[in-house]
Amino acid sequence: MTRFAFSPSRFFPALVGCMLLLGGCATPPPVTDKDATAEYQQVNDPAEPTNRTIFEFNQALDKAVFKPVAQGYRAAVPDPLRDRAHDFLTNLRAPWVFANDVMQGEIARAWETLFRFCINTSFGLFGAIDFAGAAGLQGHDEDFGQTMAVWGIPEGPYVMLPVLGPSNPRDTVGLVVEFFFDPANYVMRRENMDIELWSRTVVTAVDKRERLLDPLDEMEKSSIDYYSSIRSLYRQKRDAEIRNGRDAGKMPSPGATFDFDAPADTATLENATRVVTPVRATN
Amino acid sequence: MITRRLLLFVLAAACFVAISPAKARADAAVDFVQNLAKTAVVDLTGKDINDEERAARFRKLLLSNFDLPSVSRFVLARHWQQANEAQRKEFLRLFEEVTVLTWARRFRDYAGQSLDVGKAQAPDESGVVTVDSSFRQADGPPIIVAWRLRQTGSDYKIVDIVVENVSMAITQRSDFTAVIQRQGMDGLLTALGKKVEDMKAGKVEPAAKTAGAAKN
Repeated sequence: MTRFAFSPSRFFPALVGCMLLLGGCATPPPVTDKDATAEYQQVNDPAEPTNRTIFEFNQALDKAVFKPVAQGYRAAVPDPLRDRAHDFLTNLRAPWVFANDVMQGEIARAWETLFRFCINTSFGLFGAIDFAGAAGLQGHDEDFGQTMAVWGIPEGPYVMLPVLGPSNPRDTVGLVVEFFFDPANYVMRRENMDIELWSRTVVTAVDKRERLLDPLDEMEKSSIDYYSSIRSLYRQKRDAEIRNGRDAGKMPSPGATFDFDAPADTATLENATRVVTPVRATN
Repeated sequence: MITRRLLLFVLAAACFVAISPAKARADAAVDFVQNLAKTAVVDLTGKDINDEERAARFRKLLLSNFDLPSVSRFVLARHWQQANEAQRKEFLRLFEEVTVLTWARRFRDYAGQSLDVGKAQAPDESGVVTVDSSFRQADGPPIIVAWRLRQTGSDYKIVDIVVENVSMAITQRSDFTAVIQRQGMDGLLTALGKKVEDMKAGKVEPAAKTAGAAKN
């Protein structure tokens, strides 16, 4: 442990401290403006000015380092090899996913993870080949942030972490817990396998960034305010991950609710069209 | 975070249709999605048509199959109510332009992926039907795309497309309302206008999606 001068146990508290010091806060609208207040709460980003500053820093860092590295990785390493690396990393993570499945009370999913881990570690050559997936048993991911969400712990406000990107207090705690308690990390630390430990962290980051090259490029191109698009994206993804993809039909959609937090808005398509059509008709 | 390629946004609506007979159901919403997908591939993905023609064809599809008025209101949220007539009119025009140009570009880059249309879920309390589908890529896992439809008379119209659990309408609402908060409604209209100009001038290039082609 003493060798980790840059240990997360010191890094994260320092980080949170810095962010509190930087302390730019969005000004809440007056409580009398109900719609604006509802929107402010829905956005749930009280530290937005600070978050935006950190986001710009992250973007600069990404353009200078992470993105070129990910592009280089994509260009230099053939697709099948990248897949092997990805499968290996996924399998290495399986014990932690299993632990979270169990902690969430998802017993069927826990069995699935365990079964996949056994197959892939043996027949799949230590996880380099996702044998179980090829046989139709698709894997899933879990993390401790999701587990805490299942336990009913609130997410807290949106936070942009330096280097690590979008998060919230719950997911940030999840990251720290994961770093220490992920079984693979735990074993590597106990055995003083520093090189392996940091290699895993770095390769995981490169793999992740490579997979995000196209989606994030597309998102950046098609949005006007990239920061807020990322914020929305992060929330929606996390929400679906926590629900394990269930109950997707409950999300708001056009024609149903037009306002934030509108209680069961009865406005129908017909109403909407009626309002809009005269405007278009004046064209 | 985002674990799979959201390139989907791109290819999603785009592409389609290899339907196994077992999955084909006598379900109007499912048929609607399948037919739209077929039409889109036939009309929009040809390499022999120019950008202008592609945009014109997509606009036709958009106006007849998407509930653009509802989407426009949704993405502006409460600011729709606060906007004046001129601003609403300008927003509708620009929103249509941006949508047409964005999707025309995505269809131009269509690379033959196919869409497996699954089943329709029962309508939710607001009457929106969700049709599940998955978009098969040459490499990598399939991309899950949900089509959210609303019925008007005997017709369906698309109100949202949800790609890997990310709703386009919700994401755009977040995007637009953030701009309005910082720069006002006129600021949003200016930004959209600039986006349209940039896209027309070809300044917004498609995302490189093939190995090794990703250069900045």
